[in-house]
Amino acid sequence: MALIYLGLAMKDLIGIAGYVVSIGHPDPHAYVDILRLRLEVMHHCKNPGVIGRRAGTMEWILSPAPYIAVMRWVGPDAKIYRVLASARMKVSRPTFVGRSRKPIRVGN
Amino acid sequence: MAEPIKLENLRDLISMGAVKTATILGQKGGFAVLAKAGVQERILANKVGQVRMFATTDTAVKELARLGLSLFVVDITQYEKGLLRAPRTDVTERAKRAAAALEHEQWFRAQVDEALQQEESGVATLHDHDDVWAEVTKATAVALARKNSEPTSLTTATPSRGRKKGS
Repeated sequence: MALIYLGLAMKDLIGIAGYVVSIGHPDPHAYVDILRLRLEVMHHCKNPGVIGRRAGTMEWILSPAPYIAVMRWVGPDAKIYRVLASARMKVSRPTFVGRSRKPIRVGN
Repeated sequence: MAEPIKLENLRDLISMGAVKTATILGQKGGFAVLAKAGVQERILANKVGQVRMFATTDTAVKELARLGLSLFVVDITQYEKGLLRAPRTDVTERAKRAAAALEHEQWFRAQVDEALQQEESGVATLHDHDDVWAEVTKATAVALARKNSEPTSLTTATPSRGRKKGS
């Protein structure tokens, strides 16, 4: 019973670590540890995951981090294919609410 | 000024054969529909009695076709380009968000496909959990060290916008 990673998944995780550092996160090591622990817990609980976007794949939601691990159960082992952002990383702040055409004033 | 007529009444007149022709009349920013009932001219109005405007001739033609009128004249002598309604910025924002979500979905699928293809073709490398996280921790430390070694930009006094006193 093991967690196995494809090379691309490892590349993704290294990319995430680089991104977390680049945005000036106060504790990148802790952030990366959250991902690791989340994967370990999912694996330990034998979480089947949700049905993936591609046939035959499953997805683990690595909340609270905004990432999804695309995986497959191969017998007792979990094979991680990719670890990808679950949403766009840069979300533009909405300037309008509902049908109102008046911009929201923030602050003063 | 022609007397306004509601859609249901115009439909009745057309079905009775009282209205056989209409004019799509170009106005500022859109088109109105002028129906000829005998010697009288009636302008198509909305439910509250205001002149019903169509943004394009296409929409006017579609409405006339729905009413059962197949003969009409287009008069653009008074037509002026413009917008009937203010642009819907909220709709644009929503459409942008939907497009961005779709783009992310396509990107996500492409990333997964790449991994699946690598596995199928046998070029994918497999790594143990401990090895991967040792690498990730090392990469984090390297990235942090690089970031910390970067020279911090000194804050420089921003030039004042106003005119200096005495100059």
